[in-house]
Amino acid sequence: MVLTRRAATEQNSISRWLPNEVLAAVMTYCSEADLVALCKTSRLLRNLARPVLYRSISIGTTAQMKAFLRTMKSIRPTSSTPRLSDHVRQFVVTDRQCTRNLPKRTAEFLSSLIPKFHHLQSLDLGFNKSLEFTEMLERASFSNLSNFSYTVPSHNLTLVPSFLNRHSTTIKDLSLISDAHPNSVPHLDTVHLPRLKSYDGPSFFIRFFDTSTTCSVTTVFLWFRPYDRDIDRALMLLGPMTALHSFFAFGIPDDIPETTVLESVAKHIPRIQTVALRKDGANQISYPNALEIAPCLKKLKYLHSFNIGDDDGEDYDDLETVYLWSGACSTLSSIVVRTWAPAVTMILVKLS
Amino acid sequence: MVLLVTSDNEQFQTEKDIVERSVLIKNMLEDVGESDQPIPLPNVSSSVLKKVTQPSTGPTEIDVRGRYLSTASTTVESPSRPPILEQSQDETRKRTTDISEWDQKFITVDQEMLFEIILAANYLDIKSLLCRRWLQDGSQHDQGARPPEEIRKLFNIVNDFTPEEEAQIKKENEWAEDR
Repeated sequence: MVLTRRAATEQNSISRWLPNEVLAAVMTYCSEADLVALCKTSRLLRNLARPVLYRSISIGTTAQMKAFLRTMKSIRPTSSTPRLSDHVRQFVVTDRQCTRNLPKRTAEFLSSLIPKFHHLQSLDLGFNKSLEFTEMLERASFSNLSNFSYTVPSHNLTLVPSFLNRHSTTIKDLSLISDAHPNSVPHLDTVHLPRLKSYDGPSFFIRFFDTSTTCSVTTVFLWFRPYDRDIDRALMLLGPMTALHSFFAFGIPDDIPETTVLESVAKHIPRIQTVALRKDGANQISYPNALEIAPCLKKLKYLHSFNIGDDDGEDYDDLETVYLWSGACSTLSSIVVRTWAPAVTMILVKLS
Repeated sequence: MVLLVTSDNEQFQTEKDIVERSVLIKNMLEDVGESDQPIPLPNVSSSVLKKVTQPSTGPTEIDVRGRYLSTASTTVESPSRPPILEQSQDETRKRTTDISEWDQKFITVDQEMLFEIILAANYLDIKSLLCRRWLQDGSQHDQGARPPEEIRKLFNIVNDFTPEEEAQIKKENEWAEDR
């Protein structure tokens, strides 16, 4: 028997040694660059690597977005290869630029494309400030959507509850960004997300949670705007959240003292275990401030971790504050006085 | 200690915490309970099992450059631990930071052995072995992927694309390439 060179190579080929499902299993551990390279090697490996490569789409630039949309437009499904959009499980826009300055037709194509990612588990459009995705809100239904992040244009607010309720059995993480003024929010339908674990967004939206949603949430990230001055009203909404253990507040107006926030925390969610507060500007915790905060901490009998970063703290000894607070609240095991950013010194004391 | 019997009928006394990194064996032990009976592994040969379960202490013998790559067979001492041990949770973080010496030597076993190890890892259900960076040789390509031609050469893959297809594939994955 005469073997051609090609047949001889095929004899020793990886695909004769390893079954396709093992090759596919190994590929799930490959980097994106490896997968792109694998797609270029042979038909068999392309067919195995392509579904893995298109599982998770992360777009960071306009050029990337355009290239991705070109591909989605040009590849037609055949009998042997399914649609590329069927592979997508995660779609993330990682920068504002991605959707800014897209030509009108390209933007329309993107808006009509996303509802076709039927198997999406995670959709992150939080960085998108340019496109509205109204069609998606009105009609799309993803059978396994678990994480949803979206910047809501005010006139689309009323569409959000029905979109969420279409995914009520699957959504666990919800993140909404909205500029709507808390006093001018239209009436919204009740939101029913009985599996919601984490809510990240403005406080007004919590008003529309039904009881099962409220009782399911364990972590809340509240974002305040400069005109959002009624901290107590926001925290009152968290009161009925029986499973809540972590509370993070961002953008608290500069002139509202930490003690005001903590008083409301103690009043409405006294069983909280983790609290982090961030003011709009850089906040300075002076020692007299720390003294005022201490009695508030004393009221939180379950507090485990207290984080109050963004402070340049050069004028006094942070450690004094840490000791003062840990003395006030005996359950505390982690205190952060300075910023979270790694570039700046962080004071973190683990008291064991 | 657990007694394992390989496809070529060799018996291995192995520590329980080592074999339990294999989900398959762990489940088996849970189902059967404590027993002196050997566990048969009909899909794994002794030479492969040795690689997968080498004990953690003392120097380990690893073949470098097998039949395909060179005629000379040498052995090296590996101070690091075999990958089956790397799953222990407290070490996971430490381990992921350095692509271990073991990786490099592991990848330089001959190809046949490499494939057999991958098959065994799949059969025994050992995740840490499957996720090894098997496309890298640890020296030249620490960053980024190998070029497709090299992957073809390494694994004897025939390029069955037409030039048009090749051009199309390059284009279709552009979005994932410029980073």
